[in-house]
Amino acid sequence: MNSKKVPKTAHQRHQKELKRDQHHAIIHWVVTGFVLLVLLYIIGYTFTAGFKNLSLQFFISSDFDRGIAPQLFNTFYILILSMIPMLLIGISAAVYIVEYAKQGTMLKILRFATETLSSVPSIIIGLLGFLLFVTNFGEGPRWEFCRLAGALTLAILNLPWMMRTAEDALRAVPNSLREASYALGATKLQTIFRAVLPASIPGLMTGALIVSGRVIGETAALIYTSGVAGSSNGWFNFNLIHVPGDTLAVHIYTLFADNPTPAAQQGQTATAVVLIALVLGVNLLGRFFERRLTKRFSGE
Amino acid sequence: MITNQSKGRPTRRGATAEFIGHLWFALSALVVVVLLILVYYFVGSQSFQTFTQSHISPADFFLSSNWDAQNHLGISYFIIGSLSLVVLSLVFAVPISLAVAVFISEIAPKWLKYPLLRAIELFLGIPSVIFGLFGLIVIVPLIRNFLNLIAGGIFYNGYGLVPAAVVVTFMILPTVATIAHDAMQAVPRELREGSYALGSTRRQTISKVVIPAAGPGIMTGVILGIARALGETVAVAFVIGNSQHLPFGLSNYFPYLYIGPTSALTTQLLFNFKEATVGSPLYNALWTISFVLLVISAILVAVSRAFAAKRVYS
Repeated sequence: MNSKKVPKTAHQRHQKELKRDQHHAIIHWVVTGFVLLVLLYIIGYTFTAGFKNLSLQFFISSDFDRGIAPQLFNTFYILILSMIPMLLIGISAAVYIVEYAKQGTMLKILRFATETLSSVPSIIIGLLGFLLFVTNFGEGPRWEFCRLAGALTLAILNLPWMMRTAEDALRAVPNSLREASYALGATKLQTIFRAVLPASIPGLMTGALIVSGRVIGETAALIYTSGVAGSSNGWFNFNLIHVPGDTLAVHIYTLFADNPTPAAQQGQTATAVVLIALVLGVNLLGRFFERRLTKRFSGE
Repeated sequence: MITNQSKGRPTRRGATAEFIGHLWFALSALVVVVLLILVYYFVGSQSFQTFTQSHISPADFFLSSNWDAQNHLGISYFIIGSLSLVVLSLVFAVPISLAVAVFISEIAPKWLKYPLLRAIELFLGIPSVIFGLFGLIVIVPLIRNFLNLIAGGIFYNGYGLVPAAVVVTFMILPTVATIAHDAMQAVPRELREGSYALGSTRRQTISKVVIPAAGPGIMTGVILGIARALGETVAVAFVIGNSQHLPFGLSNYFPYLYIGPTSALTTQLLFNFKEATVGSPLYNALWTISFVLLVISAILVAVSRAFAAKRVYS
């Protein structure tokens, strides 16, 4: 009768359960494969759409629609400017958290602050940067739209990430190393500078490169700090303030926001290719350092 | 002095250096606290000027749907836009990212796990403009064609809530999946073995032992995903259409549901800030929107911390 639908014996129930188990596994294979395909498609599509618009001219022209020379320069300039304070403060803060802070209120406050700050939407950090650096707390101009304002805003935005990656790098240093240093009569400061920090260089490099990828790709925080200006004259100078500068990521947004022409769309996809290549390159380099240097520094 | 040094005790100069070092590291750690206070102080103090300086009543501001830079400022449609964006992208992203996490942690053969995890992590680094651009040139035309196919006419331009949710799904998927994966990895092997010893299949073990045991950890990932979806600006701006309408509504034509251009809180900030002169009602209103976003993300962090504290295995 309906014995096909309702299995009666324990054996039949077991057989049915095994079937369900198989289906369950197949579904997970398919979903994960689909996700990977879609994510690869996003990169692949952008590459094929933009690659044909790339030329040497595109890299050296400062024309708004047809070149990205100023944007390339600004991207690296802002990257370096923001990494200097971020590395200095981020690594020092991580040293405090790992080497000095004891379990207790202070550590809880720091954890809370880093988590909360890293969850603030980047556009809001951008508006704060506008308030603090571009204008004088909203009352008249301070530096106008400029690359230093953008760099400092990005440093605020990514400081929690820098601290977290630096903390991971310092925690990865085995305690035996610290104890050996103390056993030789070194003070705490000597231990930090001569044992812990040198040993954590691979991890710190990886962290710095991953954060660099975030800095290169950030858009929302820069639109109201370093500006969207695609000024073609006078971009190749190192003037920190009063000179606006758009990065590659901001350039893609600007080409979308200012009535898109066909030329602008070509420039958009071509810029996207350069941006993806940069970000993926930086991230892969980070992974490479992670493996390569860890081997060398840990002497395995 | 000499005996002092030979015994390895810090000299006075050494002690000063130690103290300065300690002070420097402690002050660096405090920077992040100071920055957080700065964010809340400035955004908060600016935001209240909507009610004190521009004399807009809070009820009107939050409940009115009329947004006109010159005359009337109400943000209820943008709140609805942001909330429905978060909900729809969670509907897409949570099942998919859970499946990916379960696959990598429990089902995939060993040789596949590490490369898969690395590949998913790599997508965490893809900038949001790239996702926005992809949404603009691929997903929006796709949705436009699909909707016009079933509606049988040119009613939809393809922009709006759906492409925005699809784009945001791609962006939060790696975050949720990697955190959920870590939570499942933290579940001890003994629990799985106990389940198998009772005769469970792998499906039963996963759904009745691993996922419940990793539950709080998975929730932490989901809530971080919510925070990211809520705060995402540029990628959403490319595809949401930027119009002062509800994200969905009833329509006279088949399929009787209108899904068209709309706005979220973040895109409203992005598009309007350049037109706002300092001190104008619009300028103050945009700061109030920022403060709303700030408060919601702070609440989300608190909830995720509560879940993190409930974790049994970590």
